[in-house]
Amino acid sequence: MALNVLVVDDSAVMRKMIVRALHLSGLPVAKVFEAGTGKAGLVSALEQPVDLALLDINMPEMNGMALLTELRNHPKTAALPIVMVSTEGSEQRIEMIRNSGAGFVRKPFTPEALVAAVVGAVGGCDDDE
Amino acid sequence: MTSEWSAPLQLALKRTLEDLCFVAPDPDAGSTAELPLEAAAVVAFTGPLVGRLLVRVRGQALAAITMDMLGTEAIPAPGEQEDCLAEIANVACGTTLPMLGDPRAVFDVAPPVVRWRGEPEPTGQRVAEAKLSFESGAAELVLFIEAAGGAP
Repeated sequence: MALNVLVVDDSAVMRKMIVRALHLSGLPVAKVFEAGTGKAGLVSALEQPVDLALLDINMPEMNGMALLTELRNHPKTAALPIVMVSTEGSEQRIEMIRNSGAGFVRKPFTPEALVAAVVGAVGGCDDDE
Repeated sequence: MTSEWSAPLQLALKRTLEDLCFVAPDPDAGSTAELPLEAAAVVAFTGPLVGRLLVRVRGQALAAITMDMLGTEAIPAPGEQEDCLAEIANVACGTTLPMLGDPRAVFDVAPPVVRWRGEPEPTGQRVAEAKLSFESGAAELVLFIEAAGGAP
């Protein structure tokens, strides 16, 4: 089944890089929804038919950690596969992300690392950093 | 300069250029200071250390880097180049911070501030610097620390 993917990142360049990596990866991608803030990402996740969300952490209005919490607390998105794509380097924060049931990919990422994390999140397995 | 922070900073710059910008540093290139400053960005961070990371791009490199990052042959708009530099600063900061001390330490990082042909004035003590040249220009990182509660 082709995936509808939501990409939330305040950098338009990074959103383009992520979407490009997804298309190059050979993953079955149907629609891609983009948002530049956590708040806009939350609206998109609740209103659009999203199968997978890729979230940045450092964003204006609502950061990625707050967005992750909101998505996990909402019945419609509680089980949504999520991968955090961030420059975050703290092992402690990465552990918190994984404990929330989300995958993690550190920027800069290779397409292979992104694919591994997406497959892990969608398939419910462990991901790769 | 704090020598123990110079090596991590140099490594962070090399990784950022190679892995994010797809740029191969040229170790045989001359002094980076001879090239004109194209743009700069500064990222403030708080946590066990409080400070700023300044990124300078010299020469005429930013358009080429942006094109490589986006995989396009079209000349990117200034806004896209600015966005690209902000992401370079974010990645350089995210790569640097875990190497400065405890890798479990949690930092909060502010959005980068970008300036064309000038640089934001960071405060704090300049503790380390890294420079690398490449085909279309050069890049530099300068680390400023205001408070060092968890400094090594």
